[in-house]
Amino acid sequence: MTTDTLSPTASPSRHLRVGSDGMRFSTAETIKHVVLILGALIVLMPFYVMVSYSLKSPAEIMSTSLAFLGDQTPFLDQFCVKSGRPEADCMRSAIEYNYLTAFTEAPLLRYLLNGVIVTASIFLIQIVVALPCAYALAKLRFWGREFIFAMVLFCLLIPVHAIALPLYIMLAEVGLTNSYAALVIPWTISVFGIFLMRQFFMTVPDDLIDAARMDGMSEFLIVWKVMLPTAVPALLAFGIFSVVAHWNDYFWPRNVITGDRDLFTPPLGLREFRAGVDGNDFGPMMATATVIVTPLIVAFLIAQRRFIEGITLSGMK
Amino acid sequence: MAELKLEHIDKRFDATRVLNGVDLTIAPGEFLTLVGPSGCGKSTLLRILAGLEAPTSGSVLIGGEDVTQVRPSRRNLAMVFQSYALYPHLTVAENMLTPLKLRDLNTIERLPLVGPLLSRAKRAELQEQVRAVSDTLQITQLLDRKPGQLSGGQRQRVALGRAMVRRPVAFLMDEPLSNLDAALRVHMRAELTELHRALGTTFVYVTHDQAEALTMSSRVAVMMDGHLLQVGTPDAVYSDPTSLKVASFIGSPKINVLQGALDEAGYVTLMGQTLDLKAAASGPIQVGIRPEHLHLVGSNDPLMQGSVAYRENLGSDVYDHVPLRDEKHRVTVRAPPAEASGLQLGDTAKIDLDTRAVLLFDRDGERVPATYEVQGAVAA
Amino acid sequence: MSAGSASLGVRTQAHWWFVAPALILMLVILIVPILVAFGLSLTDYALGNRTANFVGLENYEDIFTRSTYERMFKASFLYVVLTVPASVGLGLGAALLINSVSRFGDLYKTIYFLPVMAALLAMAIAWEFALNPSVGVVNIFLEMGCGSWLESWSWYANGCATSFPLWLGDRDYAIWTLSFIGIWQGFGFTMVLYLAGLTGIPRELYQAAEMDGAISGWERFRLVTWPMLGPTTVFVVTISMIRSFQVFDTVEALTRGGPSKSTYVMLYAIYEKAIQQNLMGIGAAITVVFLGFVLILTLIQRYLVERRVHYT
Repeated sequence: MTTDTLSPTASPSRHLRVGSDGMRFSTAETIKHVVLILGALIVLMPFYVMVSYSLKSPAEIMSTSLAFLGDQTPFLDQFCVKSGRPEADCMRSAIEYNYLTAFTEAPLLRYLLNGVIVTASIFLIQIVVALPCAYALAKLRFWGREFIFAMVLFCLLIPVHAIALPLYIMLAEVGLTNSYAALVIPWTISVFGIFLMRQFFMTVPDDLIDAARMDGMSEFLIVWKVMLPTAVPALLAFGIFSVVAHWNDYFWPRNVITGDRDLFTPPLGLREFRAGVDGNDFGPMMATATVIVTPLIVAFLIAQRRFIEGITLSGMK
Repeated sequence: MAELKLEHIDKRFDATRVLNGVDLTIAPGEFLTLVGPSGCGKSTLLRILAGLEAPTSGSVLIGGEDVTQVRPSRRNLAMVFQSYALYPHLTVAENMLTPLKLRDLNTIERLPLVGPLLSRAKRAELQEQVRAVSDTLQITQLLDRKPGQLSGGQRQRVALGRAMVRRPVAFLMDEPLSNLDAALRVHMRAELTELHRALGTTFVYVTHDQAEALTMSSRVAVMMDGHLLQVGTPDAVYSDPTSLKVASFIGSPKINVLQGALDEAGYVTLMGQTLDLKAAASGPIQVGIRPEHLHLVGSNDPLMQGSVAYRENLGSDVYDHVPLRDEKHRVTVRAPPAEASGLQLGDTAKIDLDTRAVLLFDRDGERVPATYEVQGAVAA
Repeated sequence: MSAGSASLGVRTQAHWWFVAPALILMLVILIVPILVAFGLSLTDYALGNRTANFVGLENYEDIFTRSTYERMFKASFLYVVLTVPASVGLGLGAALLINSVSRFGDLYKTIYFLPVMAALLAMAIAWEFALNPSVGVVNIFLEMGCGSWLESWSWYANGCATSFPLWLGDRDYAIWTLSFIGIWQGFGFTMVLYLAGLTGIPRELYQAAEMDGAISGWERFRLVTWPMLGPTTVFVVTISMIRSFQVFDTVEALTRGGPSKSTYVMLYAIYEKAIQQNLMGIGAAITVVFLGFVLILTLIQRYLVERRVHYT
């Protein structure tokens, strides 16, 4: 009679049939892997398309070849010819053409820089606003504390994208659209950050704080020198969540940056690039997309656990 | 009812050997306790018996039949877990019904809406069984509550009930009382023992508490480091241990161990005196004597002396801890409160022992049989 | 834990400084806009106008009667109904599978989580290219199956004969395609949440189930896994619903609300009406309705979680 036994090292739902060679082979296990692999293929497909086509020449893109690496034989770059340079100078390989065009047709580097500026500003201001508030809510007693915390809880219910329109109108009325300020301001208040930090701070022993007070530390310094170091893991996770959300954010910048190309964040840059592209420029477009997506993906691959913590934290409201 | 047998059970986790060739036979209807310090492998052995873990080698037999490859649910054993493992989202009644439903109703009869309609009669019958068991355990009034609303003791009974409804060949219990507070624990020990007597089913009980083992079982199996050291009645394990390890583990306070020797005639010499105890060996010997077999004496030439360093006053008994003058040993002496009150901390205690209660162990801790023989007596 | 601050006898007003920025920002950035939205929804305001005329509930009347908005609701709801169960179900399935394989679990987890990290817009454009009727890989694969047993499925045969549908250009398919992309992007997130939930299930419960006779994976799932994942599920479903209500990137980049407003979801409608057409009044009204939905959803979630909180 073949059996299934629950081995302690396996998780409860694992069933292994010990084969004659003692290896952990089982039809059930194989099927699971097949399903997971199929899923992985579907999941990876657009990444594959994006990177692969960023390596192919226009002619090859139009063909139905499924190869990953493009054929890199140099071809004649039509734009280059049209701009009057001699043909000899205009032979480019696919990669060259795609990535060069991506960086020159539109100020891609500028977009990336904007992405960095915006996400960094947002995160820093979020911390400056949230940390003291969280400390006050967690550790200080004052009139109105419960009311303010209730407000925080209420504001957790409001997704910022939902009130994008009135925010836009308010910004327009003060003439702040098309500015870094417009990109950053609505996100400076992260009630989720306040909530998270408060939970964290509540676990810090009061004695630690009292000791600092006895040493003469002002409340202000306490926040930054005593509370902040204890919250580093939570801050890290929150930071990741914040950076990812805002680097990838398309809706808000789309609404608020209406003219000035110099202010485009990466997704916005990609979009505009696409709008200006004629049907044959899939290559550079995919190259742009690859450049935009890569930083976060690479960071993710390096620090997977932290990323997943950060993103799941955003759920644990 | 059937005999349970574990043959040459070996269990390895990666490089560590958790069980070493354990052989154990559990007679039908007995209350056998597996006792030993944490990490000795007793829970693992129990789970191998249950089928929740597979032995690296060896076999499990129930009623003579090899069930090593059989699924836990088909071995007709029931288990009570340390954390009770009650289904939190089901009521007490539903918790107790679950094993019955899984066993006696087929898949269609178990479907959420259609099932109850098709199997009304069967379900009524099962509910009757649940009610009978809940009456026995006096938890009938709790049937509609969820585990989260119960106290520790009540949950324990529900876990028992869930095991009982299955009318298994044996009950397996993995430290079921360790999550209860001390008073409740003592009370439940009595209840479990009475339950065992009432049901007559085999109980296989795992605990690290030697007092539980001694008070509840018909037989005790002492385990250490994956080895089965001794199996016997509580009395045997207490008074007739096969090794120093067993003697030290069983009994509280711990047995006193003194270094002695055997002279050429085979008599035990201790503290410079020779005892009326003879063994068929020679050389250094370890003398084990339990606190209750040491007495405070008033004689001028006691076997041992020392000043009382620490006193445990338990009310009914007093245990004096006395480092001896020879500066090598420290003994624990049990004294009835009346005697002990005469002695203060720091006073000199004079101690003698009950020769007949001495247990001898060789250098490796193995028991050496000894006979009481007055020295100089001529064999008649 | 008590917050013992001024217990040293030194009273500070420090807390006001700490709380003020957050308070002001909460008011200005979160609460005032809601009021502004309410207010504007009752007018016919347009940016650049000096005044706004009060029009009462006219905007709301439009929303609940005109066919454009009927299609807006339909598109939003259809998207949510298509995306959420699939995201949650696939996330749960992936979590269960990954939890139960002995090797490569982490690798699969990483791969499935990648879409969550990648800018949706970029991936949407990649998807658009993959779904291109003539040179996209999806159709290339589908065409490879032509002439095989797959043709016994009439839809497939039809596709081989004439052409496969325009995934993004066909009124009947567009919302499904967008939903597919949304699912693709979202299920890694639900998967991770479920994986966290699974680790919280006590193992002894599974052992008890095994002893009780719950032999098959399905029975163990019904008896232990699914009930114990209850709170996680409520949570995952709510988060997914709110996220899918807020879909915008794929709509704006790939279909612009079309074809025939079949993908005219609420956030896109706000964008089109307000930003593009400068009809702030109606945009504000849609905003209010949208907020209402989000609020109701969240409150339902809170209520459900409260109710289920008496486990051991």
